[in-house]
Amino acid sequence: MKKILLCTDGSAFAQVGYEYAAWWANRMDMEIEVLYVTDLRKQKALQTKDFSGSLGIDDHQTLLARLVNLEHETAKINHERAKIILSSACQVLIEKGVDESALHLTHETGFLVDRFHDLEAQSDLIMLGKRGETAGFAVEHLGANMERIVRSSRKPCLVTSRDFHPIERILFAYDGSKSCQAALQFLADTPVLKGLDLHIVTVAKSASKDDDVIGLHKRIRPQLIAQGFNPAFKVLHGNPEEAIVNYAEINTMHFLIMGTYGYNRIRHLVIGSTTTQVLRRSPLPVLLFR
Amino acid sequence: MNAITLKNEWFSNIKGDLLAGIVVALALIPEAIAFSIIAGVDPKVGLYASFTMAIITAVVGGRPGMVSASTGAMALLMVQLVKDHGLDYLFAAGILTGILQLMWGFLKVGQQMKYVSKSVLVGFVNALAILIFMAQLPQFAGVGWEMYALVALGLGIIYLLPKVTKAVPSPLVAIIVLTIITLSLGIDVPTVGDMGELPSALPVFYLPQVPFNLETLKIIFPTALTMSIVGLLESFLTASVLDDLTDTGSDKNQEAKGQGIANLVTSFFGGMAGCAMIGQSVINTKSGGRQRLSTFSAGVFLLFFMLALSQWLAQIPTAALVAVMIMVSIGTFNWGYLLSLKRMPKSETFVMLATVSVTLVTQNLAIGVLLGVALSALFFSRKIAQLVFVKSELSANRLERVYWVSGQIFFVSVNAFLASFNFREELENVVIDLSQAHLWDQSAVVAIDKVVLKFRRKGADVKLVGLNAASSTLLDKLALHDKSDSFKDLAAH
Repeated sequence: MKKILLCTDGSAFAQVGYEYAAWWANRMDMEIEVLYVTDLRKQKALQTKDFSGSLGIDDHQTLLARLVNLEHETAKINHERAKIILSSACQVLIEKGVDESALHLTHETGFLVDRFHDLEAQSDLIMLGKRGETAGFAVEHLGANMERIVRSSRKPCLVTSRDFHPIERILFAYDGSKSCQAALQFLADTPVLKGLDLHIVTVAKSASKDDDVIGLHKRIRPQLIAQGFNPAFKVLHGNPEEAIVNYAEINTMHFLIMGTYGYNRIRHLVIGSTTTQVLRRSPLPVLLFR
Repeated sequence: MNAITLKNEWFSNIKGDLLAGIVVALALIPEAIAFSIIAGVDPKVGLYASFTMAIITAVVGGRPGMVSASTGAMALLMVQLVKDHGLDYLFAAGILTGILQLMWGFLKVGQQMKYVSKSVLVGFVNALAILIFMAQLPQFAGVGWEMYALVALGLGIIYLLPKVTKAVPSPLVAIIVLTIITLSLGIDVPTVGDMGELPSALPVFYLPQVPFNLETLKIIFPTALTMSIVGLLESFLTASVLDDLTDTGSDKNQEAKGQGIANLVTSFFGGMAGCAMIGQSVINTKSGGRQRLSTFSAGVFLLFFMLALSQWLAQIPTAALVAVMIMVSIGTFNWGYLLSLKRMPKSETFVMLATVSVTLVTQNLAIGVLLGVALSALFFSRKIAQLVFVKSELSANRLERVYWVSGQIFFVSVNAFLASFNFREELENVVIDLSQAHLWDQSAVVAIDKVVLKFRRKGADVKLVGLNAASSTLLDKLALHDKSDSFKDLAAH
């Protein structure tokens, strides 16, 4: 594990991301790349408010000059904005004890989702806020960028929520799937999480399936113990998202790990509905694996 | 990823695109009618074409936000065909134009645009503007002062209204005002209704009634070929104007294919062939249109307006159209270039003027551009040829001379190259240093041969040094001086 890609848009949700990134980087040797992407749409398609439909003398040269000026001004403002957001992120991280040499600040212009694949290739963990700048007036919705990134990312994604809490108790929603195997591997490879209180829950479809689930748990128990965890196992029943969120609430969990359930071709494009529901309902940060 | 790009190209600027679509649709109506008049066909042929061209290029074109419709450049090319053979042959030629443009697209003709220099492009645009303007002049033949007054009033409204408000299209206001004036005062001037049939229904699929044989091909091919070239030229030119304006890229080869498909379909639906329009595309950008939705909606609005308003369209006095077209020609002309003429190299100005004048004489933009490209190449090769320098130095014992050659040696520069050697000198050794030179063609090799052999005949030993790899390969393949029997063959040069 070497690098966290921390996506920010300067919103309140992103601030929480800084805290988690700092928490992480303070406990193991990690670089943090802070990424801010200026949405291209904000810069382009500036309206000139000219519906005269007439063509003057050398209109396109005049229009070009006008557009260049407009975009120049907007881009300057956007650069300033990016500088402020990135430097404040930098400041927060340093205040939280992150070493300055481990920080990289990146500003890009374009569409976050388009640029993302190049950027994530060098990273090992993606951090981003559950909602973004527009969260204020769309409380029920998840951030559009967040959903797209989680959908297409090949790396583990930590989706942070509204509040920060130091991680002491981890809830792992385990279902034996491939993405959960990736999560197990991640636990083994990540010294930060060692020694924390780990709860592993699986939602059984019905009571008759309980034995299968217990068998599933028994299979992974030895390796987890060998890696220094002391996991508590629990079989849950009912609606998966409700069961998981309720369990987390009752046992005051701080951190949730789960798979995104997307493997086959069609589901490649969608995050599992359980994942979406959990993201929407749970106040915890969620670490997602595909 | 593709789905995202697609979404960006269509729906990232919905409000701006729809508003611009309305402005463009309103601006397209008078132009489509006027271009139909130029081509000598019913106004509905141009209107249908503008509808299908706009929506098809919106979907399959390579440049989002570029307006394609029936255009002056294309209309001017079809005049003779329509006059001699009629409408069905025009549609057949349009179909062939589409096929040719598709073919150009697959042959990646977009890359060849690099041979069309800036001065040729300016010449193209200026010639086009002048042609559009001149095409309006017949409208003034045998009319009273009312016509002149109306055109002047129309132009006044078009140019002065935007100074008051930019919220309404001024050409539209001009058309409405002129129509109201002529109707209410009962002024007797020609109207659009006099020019032919207006559309009253959706365009329908129509197979041109021409014999499917070689004779037909002979009739339509020359027109189709020039239309395919001129259409692509104007489209590429418009695309690069928009690329600059919006600071985005476009796919020229996709655009060629898109134009091909659009012309193909348009000609099957009773429309005349068209291409991208510089003026309309600038209007679209100015009104806030950026993405594919803008031109698509322009097509849809155009259809709606022309069907809903067809009775009113017939009442529009042609004076209003003439005013609009004068605006288009003035807006298309590149005035800034005239101001910079003094600073331009003479050859560039000459290329521009030659392109314009040949186009005006032949009424054919393709011929003008072809000549412009040829002239640019000619001037360029002449300039490069002037950059051949030969300097030399005689050794102290006066028996050896070293020649240093630098520059591009090719067919244009060989004479200057040969003239810089002195073959009368009595020397034992001659060294020709070509390390700063490049041999480009057979003429260059022949020239080197001549130099070597001439020195040999004078009894000097000649050494060539410093050839770069490409030049020495060429020399190895073609030169005679290093092969036997060389003297015999020299006469052939």
